Amino acid sequence: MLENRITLSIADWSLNLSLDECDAPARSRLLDRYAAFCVPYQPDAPTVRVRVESGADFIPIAGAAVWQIRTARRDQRIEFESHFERGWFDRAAGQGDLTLRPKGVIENYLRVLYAWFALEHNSLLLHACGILRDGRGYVFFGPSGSGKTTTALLSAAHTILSDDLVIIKRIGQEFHVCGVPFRGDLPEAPRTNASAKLGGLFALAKETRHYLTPLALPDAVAQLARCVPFVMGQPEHARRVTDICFDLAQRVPVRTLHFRRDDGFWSVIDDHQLARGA
Amino acid sequence: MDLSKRPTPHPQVAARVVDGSAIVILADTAEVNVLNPVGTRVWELIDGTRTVQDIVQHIVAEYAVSDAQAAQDVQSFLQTLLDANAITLH
Repeated sequence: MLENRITLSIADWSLNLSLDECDAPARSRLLDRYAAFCVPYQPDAPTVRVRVESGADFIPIAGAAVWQIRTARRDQRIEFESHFERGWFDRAAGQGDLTLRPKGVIENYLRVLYAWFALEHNSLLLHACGILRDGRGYVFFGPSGSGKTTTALLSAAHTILSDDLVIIKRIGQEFHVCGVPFRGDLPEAPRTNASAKLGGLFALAKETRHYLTPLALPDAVAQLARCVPFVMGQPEHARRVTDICFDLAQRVPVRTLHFRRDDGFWSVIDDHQLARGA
Repeated sequence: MDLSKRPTPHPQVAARVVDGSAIVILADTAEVNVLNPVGTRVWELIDGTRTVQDIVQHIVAEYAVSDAQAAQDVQSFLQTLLDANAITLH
């Protein structure tokens, strides 16, 4: 028998999903999708009530040029709306509500929520490919088309956290990279619930050979901030993102990785780490 | 552009100067811009009290540039910021 609730733990931030108003197939899909991130029920964690309801699209899909996600934060309340999903989350009350149309999925709501959870903990949800290698975390970031999925495909010998999104979590004076169950263009890749101390941050640039170039601090901060989704809509939050990116870029080396389509870029990174004594 | 107007950062803008370069974020569009050193200096001078003319005079005093060139460059830069909704003019 399927549970009528599941608890997710992403970057060690737990969230209960109450599924009383979801049918068995919907619950089964959720369990399959997020199995690696499910933990025993956490009574103190916030709870989101999820329901599936027939009805009109929340944002009409017909004629939409791009997939739309509207989100806003007013004080402690986060609003969320997409074509087949509408919900909210009240941080102070520790409660949320999500209505899905039958075609809807919970993933984008979770992405938005965890982007805010991260920001509240001086951490970031970042558009990036995350790889664990020899006990260290490596993050390759950039906009769509920059090569995040390619980098993940070329790193199959290592642990792929994600080809699209990772959480950069501040723990004490260090930053760690944490896997998330959110996936980009590699839907069949494992969703790894793991983390490691961050060993390097690399802005991706497609090239004909492999090499690293330094990135000036302002450019590093700006390039990182450009890869932070959902939470930049208000100036006070954008300022906070900038501050975290500044802190991150000061503590972890940021380089531009110029790379071609083979795994030789790891040798360049190894040489760089060796030279740093890391 | 009226040189007696006073530019001020738009309320929807977040900015921070890092190592001599201003990072200016337009929160409405999540657009992140890095200004060059002169742009950064102009940005620092945009505080809602100085006029466009005041800013031009600062740039003339601090950089090897003529009055006419500074006036042209500053106005052009301010117009770019205005078009991007990064500042308002009062």
